[in-house]
Amino acid sequence: MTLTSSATDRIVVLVERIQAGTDYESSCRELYHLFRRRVAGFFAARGFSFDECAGLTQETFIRVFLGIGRLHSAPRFATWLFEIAANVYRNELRRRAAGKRDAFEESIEDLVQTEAAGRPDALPALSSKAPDPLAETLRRERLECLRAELDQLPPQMRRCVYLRLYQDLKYREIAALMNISIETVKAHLHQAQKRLKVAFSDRQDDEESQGAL
Amino acid sequence: MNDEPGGLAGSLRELASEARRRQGPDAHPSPETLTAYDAGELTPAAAEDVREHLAVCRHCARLLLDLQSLLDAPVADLESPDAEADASWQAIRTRLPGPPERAGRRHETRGAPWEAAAAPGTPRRAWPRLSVAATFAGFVLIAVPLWIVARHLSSPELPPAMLELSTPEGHRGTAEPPPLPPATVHAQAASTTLLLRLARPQPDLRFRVELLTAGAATSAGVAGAPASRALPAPAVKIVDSRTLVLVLARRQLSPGRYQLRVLDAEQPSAEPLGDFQFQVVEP
Repeated sequence: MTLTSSATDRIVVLVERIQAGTDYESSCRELYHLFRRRVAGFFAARGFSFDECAGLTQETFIRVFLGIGRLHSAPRFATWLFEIAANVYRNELRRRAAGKRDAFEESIEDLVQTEAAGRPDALPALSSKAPDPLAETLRRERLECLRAELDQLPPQMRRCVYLRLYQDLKYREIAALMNISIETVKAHLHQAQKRLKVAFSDRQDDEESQGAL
Repeated sequence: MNDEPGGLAGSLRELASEARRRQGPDAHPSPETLTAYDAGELTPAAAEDVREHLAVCRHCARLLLDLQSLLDAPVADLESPDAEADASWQAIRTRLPGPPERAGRRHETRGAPWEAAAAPGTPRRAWPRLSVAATFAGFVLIAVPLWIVARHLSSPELPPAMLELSTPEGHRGTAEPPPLPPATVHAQAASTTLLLRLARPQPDLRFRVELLTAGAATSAGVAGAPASRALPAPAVKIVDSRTLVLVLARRQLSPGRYQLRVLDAEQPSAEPLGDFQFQVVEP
């Protein structure tokens, strides 16, 4: 954490005061002011509305003040706080998922088909957009082949490709997640591209494969 | 740019598009595991598992990136209380749980009898004229009761725990709600905080909480409801219109099964706002 030592010291003092029960309320208040924007921002970045962010931030801090007696390392407070925020977020997702499971969902396509089935004079609702079976088979085969090539890459290289390709992450983000340097990420992606190009050399020429990753 | 569907770039895009439509893994490492991974505190094998998960789980990758950026935030951005912040603080202030019990204090109260019992030689040096028999008798008279008390106090105390109890949504109103396994409260825990999530909100915040055990009930009145004195009523705090917090002290309840029923204080005979089961066990 890049907090200055004085800021870290202040947080430690506040946590220890709360744990000791001295200046309890004012210390809680100061800690809340120090971190509330970041916590609210954490929820806002996940698409929650302003009111939802306020509620989730409040829940996070109530949990923090409920459990602060269990925090053994005061300098680790910030990490612990954001772990709690992440748990509150996951609980909220679970709660919403549970609500969604209980709801009844029906797709528009199903509704169209059901209505059409009830009327003998109904015209076909939608024309088929299914691809040509042969083209689809070839496409599937091509993707399977590519997937197999990806799976054969060395683990770290493969993970870099997945993070770049599937999650559209920046080099520095991949480096931060994998605990490696940006140069290593670039080298892995470059190597992976070369290997995949070789595998695809009989399909396309090299020039067309430039910039794949 | 190569947009040919059969080309490498096009195929990779198709693959990426398919992967994004697929649901991610069902199980995720906890935020605690993610931060431990980030801090390099995991074993090499566990770190490898997390790395592998991050590569395929958009949700966890994004979560860890956010946690990293939050922890790397410069301190200057942290301090900025304003009027809006003060208003939101007031909302939290009324729900503060109060100062926690401190582990150190418990240790001190537990430690004192041990120290007295462990220093039998000190009184002997302070009273050199006492006979050996008298010293021994005094030692037995003092040390044995202290040893018994200390043994009782030092029985394995578990750290404070928090349990979140929820009433399953979507089953309210059905004749037979599906049975939920009761949450487990350890009698030895220093304290256990039960977070009660109600099936539906009570906007007036008038709750009546009943604790039922072996057919008997004690009620903890909140916001106007009278508290019963038959059994020690648990302390209940209102977090919001759907959430209550109840703190059980160590050994407050004897082992057994319990039921917590949250009612509308105005209409106690109506359907409960929440019905929670838990059991108290000795570890």
